[in-house]
Amino acid sequence: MKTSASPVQLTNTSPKRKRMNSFAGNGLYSGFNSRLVIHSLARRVCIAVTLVLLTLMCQPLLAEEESEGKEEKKDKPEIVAIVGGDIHTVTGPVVRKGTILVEDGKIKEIGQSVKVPEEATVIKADGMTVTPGFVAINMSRVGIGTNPSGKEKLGDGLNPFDRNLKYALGVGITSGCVELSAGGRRFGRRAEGAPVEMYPGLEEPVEEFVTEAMMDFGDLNTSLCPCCGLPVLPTEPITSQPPAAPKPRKMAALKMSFGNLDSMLMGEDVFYSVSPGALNGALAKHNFRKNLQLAREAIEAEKKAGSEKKTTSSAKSKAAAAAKGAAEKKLSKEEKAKQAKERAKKLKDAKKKPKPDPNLIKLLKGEIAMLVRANTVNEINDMVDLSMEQGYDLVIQGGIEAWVLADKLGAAGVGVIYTPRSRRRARKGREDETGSFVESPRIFQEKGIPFSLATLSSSISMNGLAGRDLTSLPLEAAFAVRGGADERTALKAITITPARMLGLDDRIGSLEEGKDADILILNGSPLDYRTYVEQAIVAGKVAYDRQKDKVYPLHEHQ
Amino acid sequence: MIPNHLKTILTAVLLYLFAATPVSAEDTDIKKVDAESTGVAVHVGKIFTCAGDPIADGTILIKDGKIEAVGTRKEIEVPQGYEVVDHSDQFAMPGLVEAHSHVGGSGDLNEMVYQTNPELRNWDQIIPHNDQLKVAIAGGVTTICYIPGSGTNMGGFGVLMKSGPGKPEDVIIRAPGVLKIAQAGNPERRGGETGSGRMGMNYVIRQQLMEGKYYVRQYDAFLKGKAKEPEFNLRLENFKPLFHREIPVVVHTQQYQVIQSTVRMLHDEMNLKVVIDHGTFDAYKIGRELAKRDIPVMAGPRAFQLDRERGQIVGIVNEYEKRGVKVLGVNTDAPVIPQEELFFQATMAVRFGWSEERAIRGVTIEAAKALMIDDRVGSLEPGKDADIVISTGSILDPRNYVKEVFIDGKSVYDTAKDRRRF
Repeated sequence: MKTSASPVQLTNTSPKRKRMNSFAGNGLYSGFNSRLVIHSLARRVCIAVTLVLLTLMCQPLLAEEESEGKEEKKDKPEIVAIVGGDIHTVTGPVVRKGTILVEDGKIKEIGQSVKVPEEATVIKADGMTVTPGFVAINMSRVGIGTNPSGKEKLGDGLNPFDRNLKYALGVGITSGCVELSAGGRRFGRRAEGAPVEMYPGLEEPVEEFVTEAMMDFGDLNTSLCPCCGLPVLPTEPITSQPPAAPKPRKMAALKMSFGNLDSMLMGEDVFYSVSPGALNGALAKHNFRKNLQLAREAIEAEKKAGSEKKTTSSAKSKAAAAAKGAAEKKLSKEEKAKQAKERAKKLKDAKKKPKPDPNLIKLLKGEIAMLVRANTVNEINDMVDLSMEQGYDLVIQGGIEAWVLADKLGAAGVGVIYTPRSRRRARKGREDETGSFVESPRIFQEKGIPFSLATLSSSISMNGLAGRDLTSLPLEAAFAVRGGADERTALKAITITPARMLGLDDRIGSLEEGKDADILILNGSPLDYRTYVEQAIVAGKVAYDRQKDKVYPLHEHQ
Repeated sequence: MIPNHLKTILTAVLLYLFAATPVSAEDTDIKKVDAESTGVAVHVGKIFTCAGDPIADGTILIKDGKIEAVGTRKEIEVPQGYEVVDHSDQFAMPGLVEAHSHVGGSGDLNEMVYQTNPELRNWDQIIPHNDQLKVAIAGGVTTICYIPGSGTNMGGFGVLMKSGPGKPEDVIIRAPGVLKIAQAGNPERRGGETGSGRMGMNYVIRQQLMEGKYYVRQYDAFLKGKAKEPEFNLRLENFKPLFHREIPVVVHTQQYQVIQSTVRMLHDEMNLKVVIDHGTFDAYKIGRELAKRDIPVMAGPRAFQLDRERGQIVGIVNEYEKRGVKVLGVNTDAPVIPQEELFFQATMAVRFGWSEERAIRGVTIEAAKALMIDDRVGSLEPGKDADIVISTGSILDPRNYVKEVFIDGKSVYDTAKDRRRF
């Protein structure tokens, strides 16, 4: 994955860029730096107040939980030692009966002969399997409390007490990517499934499940009438629509630190995520290329400005600046007025000129990858070609027919987010080049295509259908093994590979010194269907305990 | 579902229009090969017979589509001339039996005019070895109970059939196979007539069954020479095997209260062979009553219930097990859950606390018992149909996959030759 190579992460972008990002797509404030700063200050104060209020609110709860365990003094480093388990580091070898030492939420040491300090809280893991927390590349809105409106960021809507966090932690998901779609997609084609019968008196709406194959109308892009369920034929547009700039969906990487808002947000806009429709067709492509060109120009300008600054920041520039100041003093009032006018005009011109999308700038710089849903050979081919032409990293979501293009994807370094159980019926007589193929995971692995695994449905559902929602993530990895991937690769596909796609592999996805202490203690092999998470440690703290939380049935198999 | 309906209707219509008989050339070829074959011996690493303990290093002998012998490799002598299939590093088990499926043919399984439709039967519309069944075989499913939908209180009579290729008469195990009754929920009439509530729905079911019961009673009396022959009534004909307890009624029923009425009306009053065919939500709480009456439960497609008081997920099948329900299995309600994922329903039941041994039985012999076809399928015993699934390990583990499937002694799916379908 190319993204993994880029060392620039969300976390270490300059404060300036951060500010710019936080106002991505905000036309109102762009160009008014002073107001921007004031606004962001006010905003920070607001956030701070909210945080204080929240922590105040949470304190009784937190206190209750902490009273069960040992409470350490704040000034001393918090040390946790997980002792005795077989440690699957994912990026390195398995450490049998090893110890992981955690200090202040980070992994300090892993090994068989690690010395455990006296003050450490010891978690015994004898006979257990220890792995990094799983990373869900797509987890819908888990952890989102309120829907942030248009200009707010996802981070403003987090709910660290979302019950869904427990269900996710209970299967080992300790971080993942949430997404707010720009709307729509409620009705229409859904890859997952057919309508389950509705029962009156049932509180929650029943989620729909249909296999893709059953919904397949070929290339006819149609939706279903929400009333009668019949396909609605696409209507002919009366006038052609002007191409709209693609609106990337809001995405953020979250840590499932239940009850702890501080460590929850890992990054926003982790992908440049657009719907395939936004890049489909000549007009849309033209528009997208134009937007990319703007972004490219902005990058060039930034580079230029950067190099100019370098030359002026030398010792000589001080003298030059002094001379300039002296000259300025000499200027007459008339000249000053003239200059002011020019400046005003420049500002006006700048306002007229279309602004580059800051997310596109990040995309071109290789800081983030494009995420786009593409399932058919044509869709995938189109997106890969565009990414190669424009030179950005690409992650294909869906990729049902990606196995057909495996050579090309492997050579282009394109990543795939794949669901082994997703289905698309092949065209009769063309089974070797259309439709889903159960051995796709094997092919991806052989061709060196980095793939992450996603579940059939990305949300957490209590409708009673088991093993199809987000909580089936490790089971979906088992299905990848069924499809011919080896266990190591399948485990990577729910740990380090998604972490790399998110550009967060310096923090999550494997057990390495210096990384976040997101650690699972499992009562069996990670991809075994009988395995349960006994404890999930998030940022060095026990965020889930099977025996205490009682979210899943309690029983012993072995 | 709808597009699938359209598609399958279309296929059915096309078949009807263009084919004098819905028998394709490939099917007749298979028949020829079958006539020539003598017998097959399959060597397997481990056999789950579902009729006793698993056998390590076993051999299964197949003759004329039936199982001739099952045992350890040492015990069984392979007769001369038998074709030997070597799967000695694989697992074998009986073909899986689905208790609730809607993918055996055209999907138009709801006639919505009358509230009760005992006159309807769906074995005229089956499509043997259709695309969905082909994948189902790759998931180990060899027998399905293909039934009408739950749009009305009595959807009609369903059929028990194999998933393999052949003419309808080759694949049908029993027709009529089962009666489908639906209580509450789906069959609710929304137009305001009788049947918009549970009282009305129970009335129309009871009324229809009573009509059938008297018809059958009169017929039985006629056979004994005690009454004159009742006037022939096609609407009520299929009630004969039902009231003779030769076929069961599979009931779309769930929730504690609804199952209560199922038990009272269909089992206690009508003396029918009843199969609880969803049994989901909080229905497991009535498990002891079901166990007392030996009523089978084929739970699904929902596999868990959120206990809102405790905030804990409860595995439905395991709750029935705890309450002593003996004939216990799972279903997919395909296409709600894809037909090929029947094993996965059992997988999830085990994840939620059921035992592995019971889960394997639950998708084979117990389902066969519930459907009253355990004399033919559901276990690997001499004399039974040679429906055998060869997999790379326990079928419950999604990491393993099905390598070869025999139906009636014929290899219908073989990953050594065929492209893998699941």
